[in-house]
Amino acid sequence: MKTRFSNAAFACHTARQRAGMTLVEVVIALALAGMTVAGIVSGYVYCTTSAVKAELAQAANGEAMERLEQARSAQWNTSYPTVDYLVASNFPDEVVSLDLPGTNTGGTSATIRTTIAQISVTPPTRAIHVDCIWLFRGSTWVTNSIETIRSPDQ
Amino acid sequence: MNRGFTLPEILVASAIFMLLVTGIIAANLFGLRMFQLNANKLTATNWGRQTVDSLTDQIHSCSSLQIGTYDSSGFTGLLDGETQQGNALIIYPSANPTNFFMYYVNLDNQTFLRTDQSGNTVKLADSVTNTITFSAQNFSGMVLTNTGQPNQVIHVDLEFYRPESFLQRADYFKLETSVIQRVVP
Repeated sequence: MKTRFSNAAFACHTARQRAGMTLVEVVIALALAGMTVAGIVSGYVYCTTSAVKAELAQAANGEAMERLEQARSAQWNTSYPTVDYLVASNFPDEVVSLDLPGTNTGGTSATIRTTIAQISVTPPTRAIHVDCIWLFRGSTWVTNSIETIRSPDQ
Repeated sequence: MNRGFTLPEILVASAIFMLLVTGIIAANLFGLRMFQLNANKLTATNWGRQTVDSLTDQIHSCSSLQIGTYDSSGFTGLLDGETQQGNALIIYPSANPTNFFMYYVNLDNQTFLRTDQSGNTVKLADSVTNTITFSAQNFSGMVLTNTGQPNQVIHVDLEFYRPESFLQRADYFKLETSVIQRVVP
């Protein structure tokens, strides 16, 4: 009797083992699945964030380029009658929006900063440096810079 | 153990399988939507860069240019004393006034087009929403009131609205740049 009882208990225990997983196994499987899903989701988020950042950087570059063209157009005659509008006071800091209407109610603003430096007097040459400084999602400062050298009007 | 599955087991397994398949399909649709969105953005960006590069090069190297308005009667250049902004820009690459490129917004169908002296017209974009596309400004961004000013900055501003369609939500695009002539008139 003892032997048969023992066999029955063993058979019952084996069947229970084969019937499903233990709590520990389920928890480990869930953790692994959770980590996998978190990896996939973070990949999607990273891609989207990178796309938005690239778009804003392109807009910032465009704004800097516009300011550079404006500075290139400023009248600067070194021969009589002398005119010089290519001075820093004519290009103060300007705050512009990098977002399009309707795409972001919060908006991303940027500051356009222009620096004009005399490189040489003979021949007269100046460097125009434009920075477009903006804050990406309230955490990362980004600066798009562009620079050129120009001479007076002919 | 070998007697097969019970009905509840099959039902539960089927339900779990359906949830799994639904999740995979939803993820695929989401990926497809993102791909379509990015493809449209990249296509628009690429087109914008090509168009702006072409327009910028033509303005850089042109002999002269004029801002005006375009309607059913054709191009009308703005005169001295008028605010130098309109929906059309005519560019003369040389001193010969019969050779030109003209960029304009057709207000009837909101398209942005380029044409030349031979009448070759190319549609560059549609769904343009703004009517004042070109303006001549000074270095500080003030719109000029006289034509042919030296050191004028040509400001280009194009705004587009893409309506909602299958798997795509409505979206805005904007193309803005400032260019000056490299050849001083």
